[in-house]
Amino acid sequence: MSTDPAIVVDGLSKKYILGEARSSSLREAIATRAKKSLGMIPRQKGREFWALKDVSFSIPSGQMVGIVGNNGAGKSTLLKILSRITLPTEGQVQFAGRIGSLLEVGTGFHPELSGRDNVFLNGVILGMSQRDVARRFDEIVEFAGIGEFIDTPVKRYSSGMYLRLAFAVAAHLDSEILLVDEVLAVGDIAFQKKCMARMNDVTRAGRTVLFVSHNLTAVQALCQRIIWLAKGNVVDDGPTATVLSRYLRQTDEGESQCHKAWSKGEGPTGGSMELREVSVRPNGGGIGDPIDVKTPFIVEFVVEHAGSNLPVTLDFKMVNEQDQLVFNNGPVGEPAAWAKGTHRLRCAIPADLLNDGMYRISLGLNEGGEQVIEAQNVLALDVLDNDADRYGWFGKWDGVIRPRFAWEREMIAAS
Amino acid sequence: MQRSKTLQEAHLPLTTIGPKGSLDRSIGREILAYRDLVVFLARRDIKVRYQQALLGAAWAFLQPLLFMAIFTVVFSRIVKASTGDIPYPLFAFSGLIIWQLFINSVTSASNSVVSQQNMVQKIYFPRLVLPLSACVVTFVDFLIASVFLLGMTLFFGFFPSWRLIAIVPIVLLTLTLAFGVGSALAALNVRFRDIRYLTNFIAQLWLFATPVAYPFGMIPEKWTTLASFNPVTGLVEAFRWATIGSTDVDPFRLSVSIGMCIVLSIGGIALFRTMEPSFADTI
Repeated sequence: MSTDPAIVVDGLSKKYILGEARSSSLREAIATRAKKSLGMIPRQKGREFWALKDVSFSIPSGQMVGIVGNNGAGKSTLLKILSRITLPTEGQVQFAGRIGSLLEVGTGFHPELSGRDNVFLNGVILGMSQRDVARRFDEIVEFAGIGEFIDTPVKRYSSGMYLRLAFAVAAHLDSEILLVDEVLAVGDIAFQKKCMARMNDVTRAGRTVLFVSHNLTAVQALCQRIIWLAKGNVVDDGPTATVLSRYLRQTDEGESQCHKAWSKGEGPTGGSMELREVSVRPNGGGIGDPIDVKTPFIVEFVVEHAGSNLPVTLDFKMVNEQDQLVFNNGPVGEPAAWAKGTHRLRCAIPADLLNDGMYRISLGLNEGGEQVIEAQNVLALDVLDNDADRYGWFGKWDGVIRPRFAWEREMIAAS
Repeated sequence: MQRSKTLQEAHLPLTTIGPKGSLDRSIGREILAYRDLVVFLARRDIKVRYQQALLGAAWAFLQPLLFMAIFTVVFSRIVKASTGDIPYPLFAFSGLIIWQLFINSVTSASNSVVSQQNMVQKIYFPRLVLPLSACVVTFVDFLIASVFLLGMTLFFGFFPSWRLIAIVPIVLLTLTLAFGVGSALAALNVRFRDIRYLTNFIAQLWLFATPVAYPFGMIPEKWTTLASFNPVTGLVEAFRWATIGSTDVDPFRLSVSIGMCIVLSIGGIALFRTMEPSFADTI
C-alpha cells in the first residue's frame, strides 16, 4: 500500500440553476428567447444553488473513506463529479488510475438478453475490457449465485436474481478507485453479507474506496476515515470514530433527541408533578456521545413535585423502529408518595441488551394509579452497531433485543 | 486536510477534471479506449432487434427491396425514368442501400443519446460512443444488404470489376458524413426533443432530393446546381459506379461530397463535444 494520494479534490464547486429550462421543445425555447428580447418577460436569472461549495480533500491510495451527510448535503453531486458524469463549475479533481462507480447497478442491462450477454455488456459499460470480463466471468456468476440461469433472458429473472447479477458485475470491477453509493441494500441477508465481505476484500487489496451510505454501521465497520458534508461544504474530515460521534451529536438535523429541558411552568405537567428535564447519555460520557450496542447508558428524568400523599409510579417505555414496545419499566418496590421538591430518577441500561437502531423513549407518571403526565416520544436514541463480535458478518442483526448469553460447548461423544 | 498536493509521484495514469472536462486525453484516444463499448452496444442492439423480429436479419435487405419494388412501379413504369442499359430494379437497389446506410445512420445516431438516458445519467464514457455504435449497427445491416446486391448483380448478368475496391472509401465517406450529421442532431436532440420529428421529415424529403430512385440526368436544368451541393448525391453516384458500373462519376459532385463530408463531420463532432458536458444535467 503506497501513501501516494489516489484522489485530490481541490476547491470543487458545482452550481445548479434552479428553475432553468432543461430539455424542452424548440417552440418553447424560441418563444422564450423571443419574449425575452421583446421585453415581454423580464430577464431574470434562475435561482442559483450550490450543491458543492469549495470542497477540498485528498485521499491516499488504499484508504476506504465514508462520506456522510443528510439528504441534499452534496454527496451524490460529489460522486457524480468524481465519476465524471457531470463537470464541476469550479475547482478540479485529479486522480490516479481508473475510477469505477457503483452508483447504480444494472445500468445498461437489457431484459431481452441472457444473463451472460448482460454480464459482458454491463462489464464493458462499467469500463472493463471484454477480456477482463471474460477472465472474471465465472467468479461473477458464482458470486451472483445465478448458476444455470445464466443463459436465460434476464426478463425471466426474479428481481432478486437480477439485482444480484447486476451487483456481482459491479463488484468485480478492477479499477483502482471505487465509488460506492448505497448499493449494499441489495438482496437478502446472505447476499448482503457477501457484499460487505467483498467490500472488505477490496480495500484489503489496496484499492481506494469512497463509500456513501446512510447505513452508519457499514460505514463504521468499513471505513477508516469519514468526510462529513453539509450544504455542500466539508464540515468535518477525520478518523471514523471522531467524525461519526460529532455527526451524531448534531441534534438539529439528526434524528437523535438526547436531551430536553423545560423552565419552570413550561414542562409537561399533571397532578402535582411537572417534568423538567429528560436526558440519555452513555455511562461515563456526555449527552450526545454515541451509544452503541456495547455501551451501557443512563436515562435521567428530573421531576418537580408539589407534594401530595398519593403514591407515585412511573412507566418508562422504549419503542423500536418497528413500533414494537421493547420494554415497559419502572422503579421496583412498593410505590410511595414523594416529598415536595425536585426529584431525579436515574436508570442504567446495561450493554448488550438492545439491538442497534432508533428507539423512542416515552415516559408516563402516575399518581395513585392514575396517569397524570404522559410524555410520548420525549427522547429519541440511535443505538449504533458495534463491529466487535461480528466475525465477518456486517448485515443487520436480527432480533428485537441483542443480549449476549453465556454458551458452553462440550463434546459428549466422540465419533 | 491537504490541499493541492500533486500526484506526480504516482505511477498510474493521471486524470484531471476541471470545469471544462478532462484535460489530459484527446477524444480520439478516449474513443479508442472505449472501443469494446462501441462493439458491445452495437452487438446488443443487433441481437435485441433480431431476437424480437420474426424475419430477423432479413429486414436488412427486405427494407430496401420493398422500396425498390415501389420505386420500380412508380419510376420505371409510371414516370419512365431512363437508366440506360442498367435494369431499373438493380439501379434502384444499389442506390437504396447506400442511401439507407446514410439515412439510417443519421436517424439512429440522432436518437442514440436520448434513448440511452439512463446510461448517460449514471455512467461516464465518451458520449460519442453512442452515435458511433448506432452507425456500426446500420453498417452491419448494410453489409447484409450488400451481399444481396451482389447476388442481384450476378442475376442480372453484371460482373463486379476492379472498381469494387472503390466501395471501401465510398462507404467510409458515407459513414463519416452520417456520423457527423447524426452526432450534431443527437446533441441538439438532448436539448430539443423536436429534433426527432424534424429528422424524420427531412429524411423523407432528402431521399427524393437525392438521385436514388432516378438518375441525376432527370433533374431539371435549373435545379442541377443546387442538387450538386447535396453531399449524398456524389456518394450515391460513386457507389453505383463501383457496384454496377453505371454512368461515370461526376468529379465535381464527388468533390462536393468529399468536401462536405469533412466540413460536416468536423462541425458535427465539434457541436457534439461542446454540448456533451451538459448532457447529464439537461437530458
